[in-house]
Amino acid sequence: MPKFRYLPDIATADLAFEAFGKTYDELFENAGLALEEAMVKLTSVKPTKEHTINKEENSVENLLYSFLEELIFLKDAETLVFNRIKCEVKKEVRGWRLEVRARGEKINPEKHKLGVDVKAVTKHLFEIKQLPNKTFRCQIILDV
Amino acid sequence: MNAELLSRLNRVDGAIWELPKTYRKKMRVPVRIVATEKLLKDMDDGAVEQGINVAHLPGIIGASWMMPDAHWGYGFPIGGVAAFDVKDGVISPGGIGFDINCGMRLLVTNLTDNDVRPKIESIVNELFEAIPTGVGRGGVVRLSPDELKEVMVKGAAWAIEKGMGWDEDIQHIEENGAIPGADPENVSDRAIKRGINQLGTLGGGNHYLEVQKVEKVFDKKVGEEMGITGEGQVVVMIHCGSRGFGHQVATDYLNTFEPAMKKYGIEVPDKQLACVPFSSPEGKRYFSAMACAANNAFCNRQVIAHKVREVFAHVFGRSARELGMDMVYDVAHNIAKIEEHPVKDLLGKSNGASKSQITNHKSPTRRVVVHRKGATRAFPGEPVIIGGSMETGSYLLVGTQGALEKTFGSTAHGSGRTMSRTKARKMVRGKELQERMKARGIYVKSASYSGLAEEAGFAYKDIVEVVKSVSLADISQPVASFKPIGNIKG
Repeated sequence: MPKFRYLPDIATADLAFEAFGKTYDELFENAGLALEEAMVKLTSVKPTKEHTINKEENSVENLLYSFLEELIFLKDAETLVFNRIKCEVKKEVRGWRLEVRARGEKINPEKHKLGVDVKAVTKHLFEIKQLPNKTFRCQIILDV
Repeated sequence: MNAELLSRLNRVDGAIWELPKTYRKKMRVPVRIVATEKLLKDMDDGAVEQGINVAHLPGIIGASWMMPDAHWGYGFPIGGVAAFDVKDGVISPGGIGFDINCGMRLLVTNLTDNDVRPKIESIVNELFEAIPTGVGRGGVVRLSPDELKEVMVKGAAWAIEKGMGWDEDIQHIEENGAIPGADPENVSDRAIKRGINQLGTLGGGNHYLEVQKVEKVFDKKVGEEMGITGEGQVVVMIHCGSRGFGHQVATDYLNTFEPAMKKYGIEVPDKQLACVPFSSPEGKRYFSAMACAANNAFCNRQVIAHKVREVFAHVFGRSARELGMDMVYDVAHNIAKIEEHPVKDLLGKSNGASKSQITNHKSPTRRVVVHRKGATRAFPGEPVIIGGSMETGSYLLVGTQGALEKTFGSTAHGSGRTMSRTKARKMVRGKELQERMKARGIYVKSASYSGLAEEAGFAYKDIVEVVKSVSLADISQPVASFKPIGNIKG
């Protein structure tokens, strides 16, 4: 099972991917890496700076959306990209909580192999589901 | 397009096709597609599905329009036009796009291909240095949050006041470079943080800055009025938008629209079509924030144009004035606008519309919110800038009366993708494409080789067919075509 895969046959103008995980933690980590890889070749990044992200939402879908949106925000506001992402997704009485420790560095065009500038996570065909083998799969379309 | 769907379309005009509203339950208006037979057959099913979804939205008037460059996006198709009544209709961020006021700007020069070609490498290299491109690149103008708020209200005029532009530039920008109603109070701190460092940057994806030569003049008289002097003349085309600032404004409001839709009892077939009544407090706030982002984009293209003038002046050792670097026009292609339009089928009764119905001149007018997502305003006599792929070339057109009567004064915006980025990247390597283009006389510099591969000419529809479609439908007419000589992209 790959961590993630870009999908060639949907959303012509944008960038669609699917990510997998045995747990929600792993699913979120892999979805985060798929987003980062679209923007910068992960192997060209050094995991020198640590950044934490905390989110709370009413559904696991909204939690994933809001996590990916934060990574896009950090790319512009702090010019940070990450290649190591650790997620803890917790179901709580009132909703869902996410704690993330991400490592990466500031974008440097001299050093990093850059990809596309992601504008947003769209909700078009956005889904998380559990496959028959119990693996979680999400499908995301990024506006680029 | 699949055969079943194709068989349900009726030709209502030379290059206008209609999918009746009886095609699917809950469609309020038909879908109308502007295309030659070839482009119609090649159109994505996904895009047409999205056009059908748009036809479901409350208060939509006339038809859910699709331009010939329409392709599968999110929510609305890219290349979609829809007008809603200001009283009973909705506003939808998905009908504008995340990149609010992504648009085109065209500058002319009095230089020819022969003057520019020997210096094209220096020009492109200097442009690449002067205008930050690609992922996460900061801008050339440092702003405080208060200054960014001024930009939101004043738009392009802000840059001109700071010496980045000529006074007359403002007359050559849609809405004179500032949409009224922009109130920075409606913009989040998050959007400000995301955009504060990006004024004067190009961004990535399909955004570019291109040095082109006039390949062919189709309408000499109109061309001259717009500043096109003849074949071989060098022009500069800029394609970019509101950057992270606009993307964040759209993201913020999409999030608030979802719960608000429940309040207003609106159901949509796709989450990305989230919308609220235009007259609601949420609708008004979004429109105001959208205007802030749109004005930021007008200013962004103004700053970039200023850098282009500086680079040319430096390379040629003459001032930009001496080089005749006047503006042709700056036009948005991801935007919602309040406009007056003649509307014949006030109740949306347009089933089986005939040509005479579509072109009825004596319609009353109605105040509408026109959403143009990947579509350009094409009011009679106004310049329309259609950017093609970086390999194949671009067009300058002029808007027509036909556009006002048929498509809410709108036309196409580009050549339209036909292949996904992932597929294109597998077909060619960026470096190889760069070398191939250089051999053909197009010098390209990009912040990303993979990004370059994704923008290869074969990933796009044939721009000639797109222009043929809009011309046949008489929603705009060609003035001149351009071929690239040099290009910088993100």
